[in-house]
Amino acid sequence: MRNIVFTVEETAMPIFLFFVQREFGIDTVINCSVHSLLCDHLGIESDYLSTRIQTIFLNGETVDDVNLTIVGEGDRLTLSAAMPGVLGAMLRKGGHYAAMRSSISHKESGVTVASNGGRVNLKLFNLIIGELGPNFLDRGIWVKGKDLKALIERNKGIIEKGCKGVFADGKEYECHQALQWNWDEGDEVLLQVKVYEKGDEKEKAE
Amino acid sequence: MDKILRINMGAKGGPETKVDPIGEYKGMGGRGITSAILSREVPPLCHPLSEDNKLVIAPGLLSGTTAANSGRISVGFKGPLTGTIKEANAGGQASQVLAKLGYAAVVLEGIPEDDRLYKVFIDKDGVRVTADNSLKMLGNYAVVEKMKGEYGDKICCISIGQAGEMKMPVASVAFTDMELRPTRHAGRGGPGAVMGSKGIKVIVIDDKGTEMRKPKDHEKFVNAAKEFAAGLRKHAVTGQGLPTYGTNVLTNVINEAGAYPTNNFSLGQFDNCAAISGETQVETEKARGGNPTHGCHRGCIMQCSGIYNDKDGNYLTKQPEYETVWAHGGNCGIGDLDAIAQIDRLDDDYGVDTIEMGATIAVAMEAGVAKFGDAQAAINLVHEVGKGTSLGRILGGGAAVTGKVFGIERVPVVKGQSMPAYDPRTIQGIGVTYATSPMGADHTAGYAVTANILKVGGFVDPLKPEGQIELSRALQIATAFIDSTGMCLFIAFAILDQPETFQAYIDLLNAFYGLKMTADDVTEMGKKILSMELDFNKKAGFTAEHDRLPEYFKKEPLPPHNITFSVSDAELDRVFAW
Repeated sequence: MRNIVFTVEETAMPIFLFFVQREFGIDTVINCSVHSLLCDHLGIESDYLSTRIQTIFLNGETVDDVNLTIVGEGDRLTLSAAMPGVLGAMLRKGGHYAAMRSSISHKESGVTVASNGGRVNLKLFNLIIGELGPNFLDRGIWVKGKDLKALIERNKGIIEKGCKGVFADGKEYECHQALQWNWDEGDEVLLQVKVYEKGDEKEKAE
Repeated sequence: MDKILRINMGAKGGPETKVDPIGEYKGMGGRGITSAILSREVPPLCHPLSEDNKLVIAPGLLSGTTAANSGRISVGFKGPLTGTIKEANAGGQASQVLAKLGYAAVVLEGIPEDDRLYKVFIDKDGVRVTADNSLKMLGNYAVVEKMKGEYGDKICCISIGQAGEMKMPVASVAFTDMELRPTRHAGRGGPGAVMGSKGIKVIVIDDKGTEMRKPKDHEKFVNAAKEFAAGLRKHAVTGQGLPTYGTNVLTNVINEAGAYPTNNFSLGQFDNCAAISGETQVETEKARGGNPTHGCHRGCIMQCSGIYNDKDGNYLTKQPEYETVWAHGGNCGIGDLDAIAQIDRLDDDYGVDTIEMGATIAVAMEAGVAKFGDAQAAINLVHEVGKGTSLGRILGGGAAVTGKVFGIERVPVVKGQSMPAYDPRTIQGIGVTYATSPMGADHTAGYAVTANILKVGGFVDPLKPEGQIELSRALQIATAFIDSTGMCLFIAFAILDQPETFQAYIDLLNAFYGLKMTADDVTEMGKKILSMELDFNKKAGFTAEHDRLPEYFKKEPLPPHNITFSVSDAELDRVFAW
């Protein structure tokens, strides 16, 4: 299965949010600034980016200027809220203590490339998980099939209880059938998770 | 807090207690008073387990008041692990309780004439020191249960476990939390060994009949307290991040930065870190009926502590902190939260410094005593320490001793103390602090304050690497000050971002004591404390050559960034050049 849509009770959502703290893929516009990617193309409010997402990494390097830092094909962008302690202060974007981690601060190469479509990998941490995670899951994220299988197996009971329906590659399945699916090494899945709302059943019936 | 309790365990005929007026130590609290007493009364060249060393337990200047987050306690001593002056800091109830009883410090002195073990009871009516050998070789949990049985459940306890009785350099001093469990520890540097050398197993404190301390200017104090608390609540770190995830919120971020020491500081990232992250830990706790939002002392509004239950929903241990999860997790290659929680419980019960213990086990793993990633082996090694076996005695000597015994070069220590959970090659600024702090490798030696303070002495461009020395200096000065007030260091972000919250902090002190302190005074006080500590260490034989990281940090590049520590010795020597 390459495209799976789970509809789940809210109580089952946290299981899938585990994925967003690991790496997941998004098809979007690339070769643009962090600001442009997040705000223009992924729908994140600019104010949220500046006040809430206080720690950003690009391929493990700390980002200080979201307007100058360019995200390219296959890059890994990690978003976090402000972190406690001296380390939190050091890693913060544009923070007063940035000098203390200057050896891992991202430095732009100065080479400009035109924006186009491509794949970016994201990770969301701590408060950002709950605030942005559901939207990304609703929209669809690329994950490794084997990781999805492991997640399903680890949380079988919760999924059995909380799953209201599954669509895969355009066809409807029973939730218990999803528990049997397997993927090969290297297989990717576009995973969507939607929160079940009471009106959904009525809509289905109609 | 106008008096000092001295307990002389070596007095002829048995322990003697004396209550002195605070005298020359007036105006000092927490780390300020512990370092002052040590620098004036302890010969720097003394053996840490001798009669000449002292263990000074001191609440902070704001402890026992209604100011939020003011319940941290300082424990000062000459360190058996390091040989330097030490201040180990802990949460728990004792700071509030001692402060309300009027004690600026409790000083344990001398060595008992016999090998009996003693308990101390302090309340508003006085102090009693009684021999009680029934406490011998009990873990901290059992000691506290016994004390509850004798004195009721409105007490708090300061105790040592088996490691302290055996005078191991990794031994901690435990403080009970709000649930009367011995989960908060003054860990670094071996305070438990010093308390053990004094023959004291437990200090029981009962503040019945006391009241919160009263400020000189009540109205100003209440207003400042309100402003300060509001500042902590509204800030994303202190008001949301920490209460939601606890300190283990750092695991994912530090790992992403490539600064997460893994497998004895041989890598900067741990593949399995999501399994032991704060985010995962919170979901696990909630699913088992634990509590991820909990204060380590009354009056804490940041609530970064928590309760960790086992698979059956029964209490196992306090929510393991970031340092514990790292030390017993990633640094040992272990990605199992339940195993880490089990070890956290053992650390608390045997009474050992969780950071030193984890670092030591990782060195032992490098030596082949166990395999990286073997959680059961790690648990077994902690038991060896608690039982005092031959291997346990070696491990109980800390990472440096263990590395020496097993012939391992890669031992991550400064002045004998293990580095905590941030690799200095990736974040060079923390390496500057590790190298130069008078405490040995210490991550809490540098915390943030508002830019107002840091501009004293010149503004630093944050994006220039040359700023690291100045920043480390400023952070160490500020931390020394915060440590003297009894405040939790996590107030730092709220103070950094919100000038009004920093001002409220200063206003609390001014209103309580009738002072007119400014940011400059904060800097001066911090410098004064550090100067005392540096002077003690100098007299104890420490030189600039001790303010260095182990050589391999300069030679061995750390993946994934493949960088080495590159701050020069000349630069390190500038940190305290004032």
